[in-house]
Amino acid sequence: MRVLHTQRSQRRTVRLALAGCIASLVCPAAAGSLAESVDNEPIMPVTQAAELAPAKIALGRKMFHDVRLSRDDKVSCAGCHDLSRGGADHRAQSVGSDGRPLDFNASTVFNAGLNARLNWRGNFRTLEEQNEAVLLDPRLMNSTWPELLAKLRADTEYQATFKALYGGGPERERVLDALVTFQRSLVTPDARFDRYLRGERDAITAEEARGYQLFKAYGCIACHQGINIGGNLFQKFGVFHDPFAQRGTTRAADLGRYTVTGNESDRHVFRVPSLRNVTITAPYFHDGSAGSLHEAVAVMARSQLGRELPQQDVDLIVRFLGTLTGAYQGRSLDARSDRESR
Amino acid sequence: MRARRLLAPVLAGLLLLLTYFLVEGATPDAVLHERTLGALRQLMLDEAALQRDVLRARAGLLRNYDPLVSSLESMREAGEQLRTADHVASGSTQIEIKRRIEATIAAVHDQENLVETFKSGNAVLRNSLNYFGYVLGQASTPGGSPREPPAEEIAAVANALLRLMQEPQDDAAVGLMTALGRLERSPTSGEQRPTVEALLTHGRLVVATLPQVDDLVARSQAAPIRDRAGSLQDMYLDLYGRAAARAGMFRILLYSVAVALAAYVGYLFLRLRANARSLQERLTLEKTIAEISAQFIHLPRARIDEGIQDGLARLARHTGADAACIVVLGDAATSVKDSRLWLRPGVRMPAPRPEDMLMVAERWSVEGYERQGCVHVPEIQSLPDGPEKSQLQALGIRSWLCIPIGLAGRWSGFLTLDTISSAKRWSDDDIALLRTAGEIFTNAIERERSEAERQALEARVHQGERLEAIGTLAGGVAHEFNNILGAILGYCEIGLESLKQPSAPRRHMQQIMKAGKRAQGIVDQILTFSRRGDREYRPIEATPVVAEALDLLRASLPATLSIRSHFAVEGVRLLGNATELQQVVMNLCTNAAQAMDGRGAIDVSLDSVESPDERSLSHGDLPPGRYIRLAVTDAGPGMEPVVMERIFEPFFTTKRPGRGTGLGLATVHGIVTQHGGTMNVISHQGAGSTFEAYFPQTDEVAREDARVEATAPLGHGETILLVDDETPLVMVGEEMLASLGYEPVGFQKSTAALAAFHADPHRFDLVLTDEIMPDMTGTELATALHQVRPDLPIVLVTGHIGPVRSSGLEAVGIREVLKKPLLSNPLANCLAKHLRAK
Repeated sequence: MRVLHTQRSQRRTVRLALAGCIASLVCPAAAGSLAESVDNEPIMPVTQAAELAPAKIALGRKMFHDVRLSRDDKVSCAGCHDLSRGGADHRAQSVGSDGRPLDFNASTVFNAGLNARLNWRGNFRTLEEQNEAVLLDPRLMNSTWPELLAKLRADTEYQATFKALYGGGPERERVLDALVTFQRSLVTPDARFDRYLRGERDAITAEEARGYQLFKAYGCIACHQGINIGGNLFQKFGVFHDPFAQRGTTRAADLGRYTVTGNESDRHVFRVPSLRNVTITAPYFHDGSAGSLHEAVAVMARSQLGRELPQQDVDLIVRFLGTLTGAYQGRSLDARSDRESR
Repeated sequence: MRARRLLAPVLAGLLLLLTYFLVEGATPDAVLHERTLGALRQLMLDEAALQRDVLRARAGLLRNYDPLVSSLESMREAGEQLRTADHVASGSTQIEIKRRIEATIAAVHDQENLVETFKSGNAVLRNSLNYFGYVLGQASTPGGSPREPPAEEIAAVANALLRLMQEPQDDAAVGLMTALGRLERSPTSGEQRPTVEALLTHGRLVVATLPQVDDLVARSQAAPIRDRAGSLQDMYLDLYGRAAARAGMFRILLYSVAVALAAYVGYLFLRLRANARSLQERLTLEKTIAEISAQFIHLPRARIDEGIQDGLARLARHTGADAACIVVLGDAATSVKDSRLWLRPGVRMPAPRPEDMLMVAERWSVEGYERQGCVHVPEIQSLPDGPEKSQLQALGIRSWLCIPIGLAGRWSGFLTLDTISSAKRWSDDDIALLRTAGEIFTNAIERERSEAERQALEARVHQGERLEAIGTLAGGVAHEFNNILGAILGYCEIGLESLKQPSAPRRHMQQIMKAGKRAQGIVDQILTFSRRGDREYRPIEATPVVAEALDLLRASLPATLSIRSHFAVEGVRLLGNATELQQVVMNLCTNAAQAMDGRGAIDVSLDSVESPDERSLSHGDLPPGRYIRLAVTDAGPGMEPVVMERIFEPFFTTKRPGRGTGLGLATVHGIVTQHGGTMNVISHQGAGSTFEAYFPQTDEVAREDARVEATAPLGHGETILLVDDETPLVMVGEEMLASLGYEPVGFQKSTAALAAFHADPHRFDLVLTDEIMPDMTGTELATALHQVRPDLPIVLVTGHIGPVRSSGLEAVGIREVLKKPLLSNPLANCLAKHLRAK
């Protein structure tokens, strides 16, 4: 109610033009010019990770790439979250330890620490929970703590490193701490758009800036906002248009958060994913059903915004999304992907 | 041992108590406390921020949800941190505070769910409103589409939307729905169709979503987090305050225990020091006592007295006493035998009489002052009134310690230590040591005494031996002199017979006679003194005999002298000879009379004494038994010890030459000794002397003939043959026999007597003969007579004291041996006995 009271004063100033008045009323940001100040943007630039112990990061990195963390030494974390490929595996759905495809598309591990919730269903709040679940999940790394720790302890190098860092051999908490520390270091600052937000007006092209304006104008910004451009709220997939309707069959994974909470209102509700580095982390959506960004943007507009976007607007938005690719260890993830793809 | 067994549980208990205090005294964890308070503060701040941000997001002023997410995250963390807030409570309050914590966390959780739903709903709402803004923005753009047909309807929708936004009432929603319906039904160009479709979809979505979102906003604003956190905070702070107060109390307790322990340690330290000091003092006291003891070991008798004084002085000086007294008790422990007193120089106090001290110590009746069998009065002032207090106060002392000293379980003496200037409290250890010291002193005193006794005994033995030697010598000499005197006197008598006319020769002869008589008296006395062993005693009653002697004495003494007799006994008897007893009385009284120069009163007492123990008297030991004591006391000048020692020696006299023979007391001694008695002389110079004769008392009844003895049995004219080579003795004997009623026939020569016998053997009824005669001894004569008349009783008379073989005597008919000089009584008895036997 009070919201409306505050808005009443604004209404008086714009009473002359009814439409203008409504526009200013429902969306104050939209009322400004396109060249408005970046200070009040709904997206914030990402900053370098906080001070983390480099030795722990190194230990975490080593374990992240160590297949011994899985049963029978089959797979490492990096198996699905390839840092050289945008922190994901570019498959629609990753392959489980049993050789069958998993339920969900693997999200990128880059900037994962910036998310309020983790995974598609937002069923983890912390990286520690999520990491442990992955390690012990029979369909993922399928390990157990006794087995995993025994392997780590058998390795004199691990023993020495853990001893140096934690004053003792590998233990559950220490293993998780090292892994999580490493993952927290996986932020990608210095995306061109971030530089733009910081005031480098020419960091993005005019077309890309136009794409950003459309991104906001169409309402994408309603969910994809904040520092991680998403990742901080849940939303129903298919507000206006059910994307699953035309498929015929509905998989359990499509029920989204409903499978976690059992609330009817959570049916098809997913965590809104981050759009950082989105260009290099195809395919898209929880099931990897969108192979390209254009496709993904169109699906989103249709199901979430109730709109069919003109092709040129989709292009502009995709161009804008291209400015969100950041750098890891001083090098743009773009370059990595390019090199990888070559 | 018992103390040690107690020690472990006591220590364990103390440790437990201290640990309990420490645990209870710990302030509720300060870190936890800070964390809890911080979490509560954070929770409220975040809640406020969250509510503000929700409003801002709803209004579109906040365009990203990161602040909401971070506030919720922070609240969740704060909620988790609150879980430890129950540490300040226990029991039911803990359950209650836990309940409140859980309620707060639940509220956070609810809020989180609300906000999550709000974000999703708000995003959709904002998206739709955004779209409206976009479409209307397009429409109002000057360069945009002209007012085409659905423009009116779109404006109406915008108007209705505005109304709904302003007042989200049901009729406003209906209005928007109506406007949307009209827009849907309005003719639309194909180009505008998608826009209209989108507007319709978004408009309906707004109608559906706006109340939901506003409801979420209202609910999130009304979330009870602040109330619950507030009530939790109130309760927490209250409990924390109480816990802190309780902890403070336990800390004070802990501190008190620590202070008590510190005080106890201090006390122990002081006690240890005091113990060390007292031990040191005891050691030096022990050393002093050991030195005193060592000093006594090699001390000659003459210096023991000095040593005791010195030892007492050292002991008293060392212990700080002002006066030290050692008292040695007699055998019965009721009389004081000896005592020594040491007074600190400069100290004035009336010298305590050992007897008084003994009285006080023995009859001590005040309770609470006896320690280790000693009497210890640290402060006489504090004694209850009574004889003890007055007696001790009379001495002017402040404190009194009396240590009885027992040898072989009975009191042999006691040691007293007094202070005068200040009160003194003795320790138990000191008392034990002082008892040892007291024993050392009494031992030394006893030793001194026994030494003295031994020396006295030696002197008496010496004296006795001398008396005996003198007696033997004197007896031999006297016998020879007696015979010579008999001849001198006999011839003198004969000579005087022939000198009837007064003439110079007759006068000379008379002088010879006189001197001879005196010599004979002396010889008699010597013989009495030296007489030994072969006398026959009968039980005689002492009192009449002594009384008779006193009657005789009174007649012979000058009028200036009186005799007072004190007979405390009647009918007591002694085994003895009445004549000799009378002689003792007469000699002692004569001695007394001479000691008083013939003036004054002589006290003669006779009593019976019981001596349970052997007693040591001045001139011999008195074995235990009942005695008749004859005591003669004069008021003369007394005697010096040297004189007293030799008083019974023959010829020892203090009288002027010619006044005494020096044989009187020697005779007394001889007679008394002969009777198995003992002499005791008590003499103080200037205070007269008492001579005591102790005769063993007998229970034998006086025999009938003893009565006769008093009056000698008389003969009936029996003819007695009297033979003696000395004529005077023959004459004396004839006279005596005649007076006793016999018919004496005297001969100077044994041969003549034998001849007369042969002439008529039956003429004589009894023969009385001297033993030692020139021609034929008495024994030889008796042999000859016996051959003729074996029935004839023969009595041998001898002046010699040598032993006579009685068996030989009986073989020759000698019935009895009589000692010279012949006395009428024994003679009468003897004759009567043998004549009657015949």
